[in-house]
Amino acid sequence: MSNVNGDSLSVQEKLAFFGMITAGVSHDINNVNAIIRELAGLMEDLFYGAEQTGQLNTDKLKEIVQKIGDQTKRGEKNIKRLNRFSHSVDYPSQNFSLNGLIMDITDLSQRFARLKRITLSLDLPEVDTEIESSPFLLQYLIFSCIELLLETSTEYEKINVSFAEQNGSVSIDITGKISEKGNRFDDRMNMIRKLTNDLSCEFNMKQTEDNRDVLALIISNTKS
Amino acid sequence: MADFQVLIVDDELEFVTALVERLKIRGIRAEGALRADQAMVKLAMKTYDIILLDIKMPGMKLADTIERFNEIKPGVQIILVTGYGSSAEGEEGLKLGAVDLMAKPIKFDKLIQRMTELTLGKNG
Repeated sequence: MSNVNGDSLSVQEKLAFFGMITAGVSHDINNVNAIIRELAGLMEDLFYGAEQTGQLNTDKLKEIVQKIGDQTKRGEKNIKRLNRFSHSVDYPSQNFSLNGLIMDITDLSQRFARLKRITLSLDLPEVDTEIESSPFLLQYLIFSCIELLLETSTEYEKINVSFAEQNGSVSIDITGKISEKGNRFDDRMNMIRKLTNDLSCEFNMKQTEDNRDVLALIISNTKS
Repeated sequence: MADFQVLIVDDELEFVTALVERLKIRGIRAEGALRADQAMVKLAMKTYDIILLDIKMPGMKLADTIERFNEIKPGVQIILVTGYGSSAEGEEGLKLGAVDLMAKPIKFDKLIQRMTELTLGKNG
């Protein structure tokens, strides 16, 4: 049985995270929509031109159709990701794939990283791990760690998310470089502590040999 | 139609490419820049009548960018493009001197009309 509760967080705090993620995804989907609209308009322009000249550039049309297809796939991925995120609040605790969850929250964080010109990468183990916990709170926790590093890093810095299973526990490492703590550092740390408390997991900060900062989350694999 | 030169500044490559091409088909001189600093370099080297500027781009603070554009080319007319229905940043941009705010997806005919109005108004 998992030891999960959401007692440390207010409704407003949970809603704020939910809103931030959905706003980010909706912004990206709107970009996809805008691109498809321009590409469709361009096709229309080319057909109109062809009616005047009697000549149609089929290679150009094929290129546009391909681009529309690519954007459609991009939009579909975003929508599926948002759907999974939305359903992560269905139950306070459930079994889920940790690979899938970490991949999703890292993808959902990419827009925020891109705006800061920071590279966010992910290393997943080949074998998936299933755990029983709150997918919503765990995503919130991982995102909070990523967000802390995004806010304290300089441009063009790199953040990496990885995890490993060892002796019945899972260790999720979010690695980056804290250059300047800033005035929201303490707030971010308080949020991380609240979430680790609610998820009954451990949190510690350490440094690698090359002086990079690691925010380490250790979850006892409580899958029943 | 008024003769004018447009610079489209947005980090979405396919959006910029398609929009530039559509404007060129209509005889409007248009170029694109995927980053605010690239746009500043172009602006320093060439005269643009209108800049279409995405309000949310990587590494960019809107106020600083608008200020810098005005320093490089005083009087350049900036139309802000936002992905949001309403935007506090967009409103701030208008206060800083941008001439209009449009939401994505852009209504293309409305864009042409607005750019023509701005250029004709500027030229008397």
